[in-house]
Amino acid sequence: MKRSAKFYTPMFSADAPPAPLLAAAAAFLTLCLMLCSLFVGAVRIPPAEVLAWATGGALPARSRLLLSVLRWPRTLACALCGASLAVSGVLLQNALGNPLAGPSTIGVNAGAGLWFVIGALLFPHVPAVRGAAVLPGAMGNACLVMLISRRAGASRLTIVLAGVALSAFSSAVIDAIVTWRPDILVDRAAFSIGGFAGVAAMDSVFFALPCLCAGFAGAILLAGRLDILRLGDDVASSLGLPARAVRLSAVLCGAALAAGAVSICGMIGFVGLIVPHIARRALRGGDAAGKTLPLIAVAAFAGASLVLLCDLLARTLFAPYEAPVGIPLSFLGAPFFLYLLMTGKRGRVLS
Amino acid sequence: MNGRAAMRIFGLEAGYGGDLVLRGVDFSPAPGALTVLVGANGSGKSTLLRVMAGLLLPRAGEVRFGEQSLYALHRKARARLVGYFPQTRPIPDMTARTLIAHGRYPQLRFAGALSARDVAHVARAAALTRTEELLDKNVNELSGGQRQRVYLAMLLTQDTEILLLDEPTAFLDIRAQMDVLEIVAKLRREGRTVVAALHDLQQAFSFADRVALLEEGRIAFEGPPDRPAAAAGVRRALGVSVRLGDPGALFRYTLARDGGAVDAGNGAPENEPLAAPQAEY
Repeated sequence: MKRSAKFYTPMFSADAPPAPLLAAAAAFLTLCLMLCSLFVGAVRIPPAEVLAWATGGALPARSRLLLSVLRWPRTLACALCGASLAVSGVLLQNALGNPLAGPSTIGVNAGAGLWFVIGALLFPHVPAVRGAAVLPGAMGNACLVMLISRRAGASRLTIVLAGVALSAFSSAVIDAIVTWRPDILVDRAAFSIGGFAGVAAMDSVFFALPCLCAGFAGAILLAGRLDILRLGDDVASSLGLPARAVRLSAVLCGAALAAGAVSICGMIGFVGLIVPHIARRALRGGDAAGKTLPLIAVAAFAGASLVLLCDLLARTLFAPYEAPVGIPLSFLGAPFFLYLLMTGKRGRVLS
Repeated sequence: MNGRAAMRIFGLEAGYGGDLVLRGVDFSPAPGALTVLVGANGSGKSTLLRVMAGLLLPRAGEVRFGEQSLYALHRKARARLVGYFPQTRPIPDMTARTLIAHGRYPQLRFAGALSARDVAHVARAAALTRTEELLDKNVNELSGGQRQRVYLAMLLTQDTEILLLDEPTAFLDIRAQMDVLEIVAKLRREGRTVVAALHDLQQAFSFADRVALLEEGRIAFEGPPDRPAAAAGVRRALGVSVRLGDPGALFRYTLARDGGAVDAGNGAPENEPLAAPQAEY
């Protein structure tokens, strides 16, 4: 051998220097933002009281209530939703080989939202039903999109177009139901663009946890196989990879992650589409950016940080009033995404 | 390599949707030889290769590897026996090294870590295909010929006894075609069984140990290219006549360019560039 070659393994890329470092940095950022999210809000809680709450010390009853019923569940919900939507985006983009794929673009979010509303309509007093109904909704729409695009010749554009159509249809049904029975949603605007105002106590987080855990576990297990899948179906199959099964599993895992997020915070749109691209860019389009596992790690923490930051802004900018998190998310996300598009090397961001 | 179990195909029928492309193919690629598949467009060359690679299930018939049916094997076991090089491949955003290492996927265990042996295979494949210089470059920055060599290196790291190549020289300039054919010649010399579909009849007839002519979904001729029946079959199936020239000319050209370091088999390496085409179309 000519050089002291570093051989990257297909599944783990511990050798790729920037990836673990970047993931650690993103994790640190997430942690900082989570702490901020506990201190900051319409009511400022001094750090000493947060510390006392965390260690079981004495603190005013009002602060204790705020922290355990509002701030902590909400912080956790933000981090979980951001991470799961971002990982969902990575799975969908890598499995479908489509940079435009994301839980919102292929109709997964809307499917989950539709079934959430149906669950709320039929069983208004059983929140667990809403938590469970999102899963078939998201997976159903994901399967439908894949089926339609296979029928119509699975081009990248067809999948997105089919997703847009399905999204529109699902949203129309949601609107119809909510117009007829406005009482089933606490905050309609927050549901349709995403918001955490409804997160009180840990209920919704607990109900989403099975979905999210299954999705994250699947993402980690599938990461190496998705790398092989990027060689194309023919090459992947000739290497002994069940290409179709891997693609379907990845899409279903992505759907499960998005479903869990939707059941907590409504149909946040942008995170799943842009965070994978941000993560790829942060990895500088290097070898690690082409691998799914480092990308998942970086995207998860980046997504969590982005949602935490936007929720902080949503809570504090107009305090004591709150904007749905979707608003600052789009305000920050859209220009940043456009910046990525315009400065990206040709074929890097949207290849 | 382990053993020399030959691949045998009986009564193979296969197709897409309602169309039957292969209508009863009986074919056994000669072990350790380079068999070139020739035939008109749509005669079923690619389909046959896809079935042999296990990517397309036949409607009838059987592909056997020794005593075992190819389709009874586990996916990864099949991928350790048969390597396949499709005509078109995506251009993934990854380094050549990663791409070549993916060829070891059928040998990897669940955790997927590369062993020293896997790494040695990658290095060997890179040396054989002269892609060492390209290892740290991104595949999407390579030229068409370089990319073809990198993909061939991936196929080599798969370390299979049987290699199926679907138009490995398509869309390449003449120099890159020579590079690819040179690699194919090296594989044959290692004793691997190579079946390649080639669209260039002169290349096919100059390089092949054996020629298999596909006509209307059946093998119309299978044997050495210098048999009169081979030329007659091509004339019938493709409507062109082939006159066989010096079968070694093209091969020696490739070797001569590298300073004749490799044993050319028959005759000394010539410094003369590619011999004038001897096949008439």
